[in-house]
Amino acid sequence: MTTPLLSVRGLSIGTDAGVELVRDLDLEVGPGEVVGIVGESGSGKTMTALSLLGLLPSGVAVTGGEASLDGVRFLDGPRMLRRPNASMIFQNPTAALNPTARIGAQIDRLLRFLDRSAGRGSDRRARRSRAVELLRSVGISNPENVLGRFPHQLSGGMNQRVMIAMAISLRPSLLIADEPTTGLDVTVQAQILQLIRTTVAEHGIGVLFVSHDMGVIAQMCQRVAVMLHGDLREFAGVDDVFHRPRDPYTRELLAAAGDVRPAEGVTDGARAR
Amino acid sequence: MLRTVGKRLGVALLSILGVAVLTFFITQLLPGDPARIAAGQYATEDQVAQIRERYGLDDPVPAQFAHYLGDLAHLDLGSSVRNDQPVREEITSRFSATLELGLTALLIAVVLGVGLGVAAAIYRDRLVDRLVQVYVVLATATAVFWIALVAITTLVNDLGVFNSPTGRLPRGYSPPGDITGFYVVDALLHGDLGTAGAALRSLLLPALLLGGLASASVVKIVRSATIKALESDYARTSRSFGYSRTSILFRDGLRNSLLPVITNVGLVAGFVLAGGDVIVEQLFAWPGIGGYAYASLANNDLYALRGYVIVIGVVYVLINTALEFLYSWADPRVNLAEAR
Repeated sequence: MTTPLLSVRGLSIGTDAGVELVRDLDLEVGPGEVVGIVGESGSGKTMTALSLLGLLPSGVAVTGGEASLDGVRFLDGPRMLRRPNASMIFQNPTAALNPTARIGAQIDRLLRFLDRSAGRGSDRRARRSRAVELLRSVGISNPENVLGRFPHQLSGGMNQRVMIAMAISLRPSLLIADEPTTGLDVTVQAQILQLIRTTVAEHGIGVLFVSHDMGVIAQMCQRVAVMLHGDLREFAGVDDVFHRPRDPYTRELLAAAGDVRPAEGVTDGARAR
Repeated sequence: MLRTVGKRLGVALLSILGVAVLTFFITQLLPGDPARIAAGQYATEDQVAQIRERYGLDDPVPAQFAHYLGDLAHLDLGSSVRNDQPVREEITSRFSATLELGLTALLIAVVLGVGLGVAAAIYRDRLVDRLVQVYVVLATATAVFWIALVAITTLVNDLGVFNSPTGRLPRGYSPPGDITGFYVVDALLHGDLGTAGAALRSLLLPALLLGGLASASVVKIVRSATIKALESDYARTSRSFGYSRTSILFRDGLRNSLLPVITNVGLVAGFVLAGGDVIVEQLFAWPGIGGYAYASLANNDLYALRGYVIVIGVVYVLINTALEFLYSWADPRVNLAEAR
């Protein structure tokens, strides 16, 4: 096994009141690999995702463990050592965008921030054409129109495309996707999943994909971590998890989801396209 | 857009008509006989009856109402039964004083409210936040007249920071030429720094008291709205990009917390113009319409009182209409054209 892109060791997350939300979690994502975290509400999967970018809500903190990206440690217990080169897309994309700013202004804010962080000059018209390009790259056919809209004037699927465009513009080596298609129409959901697949394949980005939906996980991931009440119950390849589940809870999840198993033996590469 | 503006102004006009109608019937219900007050303590029944007839006070109510609406359409508010002066002129001549005090107080309330509210939100549950909370409780619970008297005794009498409560200017100064009707601004426009300073020292204490008390509700709203905005999904998105805390505070936090503030300003304006103002004008001998209203009420001066209520009502409707436009500008999700 080559060195993993993301490596999480012994991650524990708890509230200020002392409630443990995640216990001693080990996880890894290989370069360009899509790894799923699946579990019911309250299993700690979203908290795990948020903790990697230092986005835990107030009153919740990492209590132990460490994480590294590209071999560089960025999380050491409660301390964020550096910003990992990762970006995130969220559940409910419409709420994830500022309601009082136009899409164009929000992308422009990000591009200007990126230019300034990189110490290079920034020109408004150049940023505008980059924004148009970005939106095109996520399959938005009328980017000029979308740039002038507010999030509430766009569909959830369109806003998620915008979020993906913004997340990709950071040129991350890891994308964290927290239930990115929950709440979207089934057809839109399929389009967004397809977009995520092609985008990360194109840029060679690794993905940590959080979902409660076994069907989505089966479509998207090469490896799956099954979580329950803050514990990691099973971490294995999709074929193993779906066809030879070792943990009784995984079996329950599968039974509840109906037949969502991917055809056994289909290679990961074929599914990732 | 033009249609929308027209529609809103139409609604405002309807509201003003509502105010006028309500004012008539409420003042009808007031106890006491304006004619007797006007006639004086030693008037005979005949004299009182004469006055009653002159002011149309013994007409049937529908006739009085028609008469009242007709006059109102000509912007005629009738004459005061106290001194027989036209109510409109009396109110007009005092209005700029009230407006100067009220707008200054409103400005103080908003600046203080937003500043303290944001500070409390940033330092949530820490010392700064606790102190702000104490301020809010004190400002909410303090009676205007009491804190005003305390302020006058200490800040004016003992320390001499502000002028004595003798109206818009201390003794020895004459009002600057009338341009805006605001003494401080007018004196500055005339280049008269001495008068401007004196007017400011007279204005500041009542304005600070009114604005300070009114700021409590603004602080509460800004604090909770900013906390909500900073904990929102979109602020989390900004953090995921690595934006600075300042950028997030202003562009995600403050920008979105201003929406409820705009709504609240209408209520604060109501308090400043019609509630606290009447008391503060009494205490500071401020020659505004609040003092006029107080004297009218004390003397059963029917027409003067009606005039006051209508003017305040109209100002209130106008402020709220302006705020609605401001709100639809600040929050793109609010569409005035669709709002009914």
